[in-house]
Amino acid sequence: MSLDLQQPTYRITFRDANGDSSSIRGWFPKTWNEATAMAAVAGLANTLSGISGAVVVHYSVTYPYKDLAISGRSNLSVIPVLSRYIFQLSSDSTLHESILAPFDVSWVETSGPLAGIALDVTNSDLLAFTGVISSDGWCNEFGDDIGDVESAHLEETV
Amino acid sequence: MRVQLPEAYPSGTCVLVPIDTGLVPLISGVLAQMLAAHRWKAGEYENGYRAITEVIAAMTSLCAQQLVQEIRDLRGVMPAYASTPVDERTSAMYNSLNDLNQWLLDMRGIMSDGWFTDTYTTLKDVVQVQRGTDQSTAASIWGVVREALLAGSSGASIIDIIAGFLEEQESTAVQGGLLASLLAVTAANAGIVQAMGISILDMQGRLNDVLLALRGATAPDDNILLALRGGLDVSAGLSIAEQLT
Repeated sequence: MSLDLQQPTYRITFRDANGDSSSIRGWFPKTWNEATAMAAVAGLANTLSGISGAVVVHYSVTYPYKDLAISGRSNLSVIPVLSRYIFQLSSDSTLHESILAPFDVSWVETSGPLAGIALDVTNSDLLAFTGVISSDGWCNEFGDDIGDVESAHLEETV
Repeated sequence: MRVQLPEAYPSGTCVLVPIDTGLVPLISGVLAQMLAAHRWKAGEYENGYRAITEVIAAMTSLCAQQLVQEIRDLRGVMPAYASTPVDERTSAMYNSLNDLNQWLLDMRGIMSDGWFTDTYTTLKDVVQVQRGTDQSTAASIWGVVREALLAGSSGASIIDIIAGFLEEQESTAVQGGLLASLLAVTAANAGIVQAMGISILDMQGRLNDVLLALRGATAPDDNILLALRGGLDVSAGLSIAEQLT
């Protein structure tokens, strides 16, 4: 895998008194690190809000990487079948988070009532993948630290 | 249309929905659409996301099968099918309640065979065995033994009493009664030994009295023979018989 850093981007979303929102996007130098970029965008958002009177409700920076060796545009259709990996939350094993991601066909159960549906979560290669998510501080959208994988099953893109 | 969780959630009551395993990927994909923020009303996204995530997480839990297996484990697999893999076992390979009931009945044992109906052992029978017979009779045995010991009856009397009881209770007396008898006999023997000791002490006292009467307070350093023959050595000539002949 060989991905190269593209031009980093920022996005600032405003909302006016009517509740309507708009976003502006731009770019900044590749040489800016995260702290520099965030500080610059925050400053810009503050300046723009003073001009328009609109309220800044969101801003972000993105560092996109791309494999330049792969040419052409991707299909508009999505991958039809992926796997839904179910993880326990580190704070409470009875609560869960899920991630939709690719899978290896060899991970699919071949026996038992869930044959062809579920993945074998004891497979070492699967655990190598999910282990990366379980460790290193990855969390869900609400800041809950993601714990160990509990189960995984195929999911169709609807 | 944006949605929100109902006020009754979480109710704590669940429904068991039979979803064919072949539909799991499709149903999961449909549910996953509810994980998007735009599906929820303002302020409802996090709660809705967590609720739907828990439903998706249960898609492969096979909870019904776990319940069935718990029941099967409770019944116990028949010995003939113990080596059959769990996934391949059928309901007929597990014991029924009728089997378990019959085991319990067989475990009782028959106390007495009857022409028409047998009398089975009961817990009451077991308790009576432990007590040596029924409680009232056991109390009687202990009471009689106690009275005999307090009255200082001889060992022979106590044994005679116990033997009489055993003859009367021969149909039901077992370990408990025998233990009571053994203890009573042991106590009686102890009483006998004690009585013998007292008697021996009494005899010693009487002997001391006799000696006191014969020799006085101070034991002499001579003896009757010395008093009779004096300092003469013993010889045939001193024999009374020789003198007479």
